[in-house]
Amino acid sequence: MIGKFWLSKKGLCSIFCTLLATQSYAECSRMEAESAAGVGVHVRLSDQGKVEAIFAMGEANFLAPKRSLIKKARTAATLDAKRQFSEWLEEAVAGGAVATSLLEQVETTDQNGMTSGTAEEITQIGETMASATANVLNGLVKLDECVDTDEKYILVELGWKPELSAAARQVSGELSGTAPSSVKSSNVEQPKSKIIPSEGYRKKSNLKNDF
Amino acid sequence: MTSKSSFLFVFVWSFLHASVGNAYCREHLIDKIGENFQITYNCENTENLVEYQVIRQITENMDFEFFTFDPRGWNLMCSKLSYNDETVDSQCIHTGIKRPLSYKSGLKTLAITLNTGVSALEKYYLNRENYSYFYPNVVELYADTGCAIMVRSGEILLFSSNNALEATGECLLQYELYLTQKK
Repeated sequence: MIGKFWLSKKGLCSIFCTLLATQSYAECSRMEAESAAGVGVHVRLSDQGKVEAIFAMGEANFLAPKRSLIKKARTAATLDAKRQFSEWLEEAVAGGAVATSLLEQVETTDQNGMTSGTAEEITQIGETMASATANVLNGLVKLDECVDTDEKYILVELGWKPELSAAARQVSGELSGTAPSSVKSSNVEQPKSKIIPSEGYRKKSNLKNDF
Repeated sequence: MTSKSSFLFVFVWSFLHASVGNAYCREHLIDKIGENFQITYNCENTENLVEYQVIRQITENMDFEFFTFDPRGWNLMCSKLSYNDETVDSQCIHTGIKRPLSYKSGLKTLAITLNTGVSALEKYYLNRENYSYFYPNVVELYADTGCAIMVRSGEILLFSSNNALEATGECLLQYELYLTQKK
């Protein structure tokens, strides 16, 4: 009876651990699946062909599921997302490849035939954003994050909305003056995590619902 | 007799060649309930350009790296021990007289550049599309890693932020892990 009890306890434990491991793997897979473009930059357009939001997902690896190594990887993934966003901006200003590829993307997804207007909108918004690249990058907010402890990688998703750039510009102006920096931190920082990073997890920001 | 000895030579040569070609990384993981977590990477040069080995062992509190590079040239042997993310001990024995900065094997080359600043690296990161592999992934992290590696067909570029090679162990480990995942 005792033997049976121990066996079942061991069995339960191994099932629980397997479930945890599978869950950590599933969280990142789900996050990638939910994102329209996976790792890279993705633009969401309204029915009228206006840019509603831009998403950038970055990835980084870590050697072991250890808090300090995950922290480094998180920084690397965030910088990777920013890099992709900034590269996309440069290409958008050049007007060629990105606008065309996005146009193709819209042609396949948008059924309202707004393709030409959309290309203009993307190029225009790209130029506006690039003229204030630093402000735009500051205006990026973290929307989602996941850690896969089995495959040892982290994904970070950042987002940008036209309103955020104005807010970032305003904060930047205030910072160059004498205003306190509280607004900036409220825009960028996320509430502190209660999870234990040595296990896989996914942490979605409340901001993501507004995007 | 001649055919036997030539067969033996081919056999030995192919065995040695195979062992070099299959270097990559070996990963040993201890992650059982009731035991302390431990992960060990043992990576050796996959490309037959220069001989190196990086062993990295990470436990909950400890992070240990043992790095050897080019026993026939630099003859570098480094070890670094960190405890709770603080470097407790870092040592390098460097007994080689020759310190080659480039290695060539067939059409492949490995070029080492010492004392490289961030600004000198930026041009490579701006032409990212020319390279198949980068570590660190973004140039902003170079100050932290102290090394950078980038690869394009037939060419490996290895950079160190100072005039030594001890920091390059991290980059070579990451590159070998990348090759291991890719195979």
